[in-house]
Amino acid sequence: MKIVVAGGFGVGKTTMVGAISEIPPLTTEAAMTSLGAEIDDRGDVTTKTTTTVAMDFGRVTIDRSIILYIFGTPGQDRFGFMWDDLITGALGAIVLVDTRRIDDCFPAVDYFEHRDLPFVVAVNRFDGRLAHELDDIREALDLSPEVPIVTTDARAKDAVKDTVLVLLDQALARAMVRSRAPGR
Amino acid sequence: MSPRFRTDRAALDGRERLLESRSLTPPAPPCDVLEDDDPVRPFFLTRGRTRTDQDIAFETIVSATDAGRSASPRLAFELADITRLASEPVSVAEISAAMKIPITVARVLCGDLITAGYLDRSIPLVAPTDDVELIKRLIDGVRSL
Ligand SMILES: Nc1nc2c(ncn2[C@@H]2O[C@H](COP(=O)(O)OP(=O)(O)OP(=O)(O)O)[C@@H](O)[C@H]2O)c(=O)[nH]1
Ligand SMILES: [Mg+2]
Repeated sequence: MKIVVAGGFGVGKTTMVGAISEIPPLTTEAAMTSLGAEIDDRGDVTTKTTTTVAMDFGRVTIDRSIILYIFGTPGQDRFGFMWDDLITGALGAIVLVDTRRIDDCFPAVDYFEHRDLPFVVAVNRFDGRLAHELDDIREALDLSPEVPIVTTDARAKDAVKDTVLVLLDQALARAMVRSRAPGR
Repeated sequence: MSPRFRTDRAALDGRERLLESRSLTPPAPPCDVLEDDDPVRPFFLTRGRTRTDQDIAFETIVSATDAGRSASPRLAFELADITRLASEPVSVAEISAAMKIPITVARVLCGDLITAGYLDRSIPLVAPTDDVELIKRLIDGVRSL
């Protein structure tokens, strides 16, 4: 089982993964072939560019048959191809926000809003007071009402646990709706 | 459980090993181009593929089959390493991290090994995202961390 932590650069994704993981976050690379529309000298379109991004993940063993993996996505917003791969089979996503740079999480919020995937917006407190109220942030991000927004502390296991639980409640609600839906 | 990536490759015969890998996957270019420490090698084995026919995600847990265990000495380096790492159940992501190969590459190679019958992967009857009981157990588990 898997959840994903997304958000802008340096917002605390790796810290959050590490706070709950039973192992220090492991790093892996994802080589991606993305389609770029580059026109070369001859007027031909060259389409393939390969980029490599680092991604980290942690692990929580619940019991013999349940292992939860937490993946921290690369911060860039132009890696849509890999995000699609990453969220396949995911229970949901946490979008981490730094209130001093709210805009940085737009690509992630926008991305998940257009996917059939539960997500939670978690504002990383970075010790201090919030620069904005949660309601203001909700409005700034134009979040739909069903998307929870919470504060968290990416360094603190308990706070991260709570954030994960908010997400898992969303995932549970969705699973219940789906398992009741006819034809499934 | 911290499987190490084998590094002493000097004793291994690349040509012989590649033969086995050829039977797994479409024909490869001449094996002369392979150097033991060539960082491009894993990409070479995938032949540029980033997808696999097998339905595997980054977190999918794989484990070596008996056939995989006995074939291991004859497999190409990376494939042998994967079957060895998978002597205990291990995720594609962890294989990627242990072998320092991109996760997309690890996934393709695991897919090849599954197709060849050298790796097993448990396929849940219900997708975890739709499995109410499983998610409830997960929630209880996270709560008691
Ligand atoms: N004070 C404080 N520092 C934090 C907190 N969360 C993260 N940091 C620090 O912020 C820096 C960036 O955190 P990371 O966890 O590496 O952020 P990231 O989102 O993984 O960054 P990229 O992967 O580079 O996008 C690190 O130096 C962390 O120690 C927090 O809640 N409070
Ligand atoms: Mg990071």
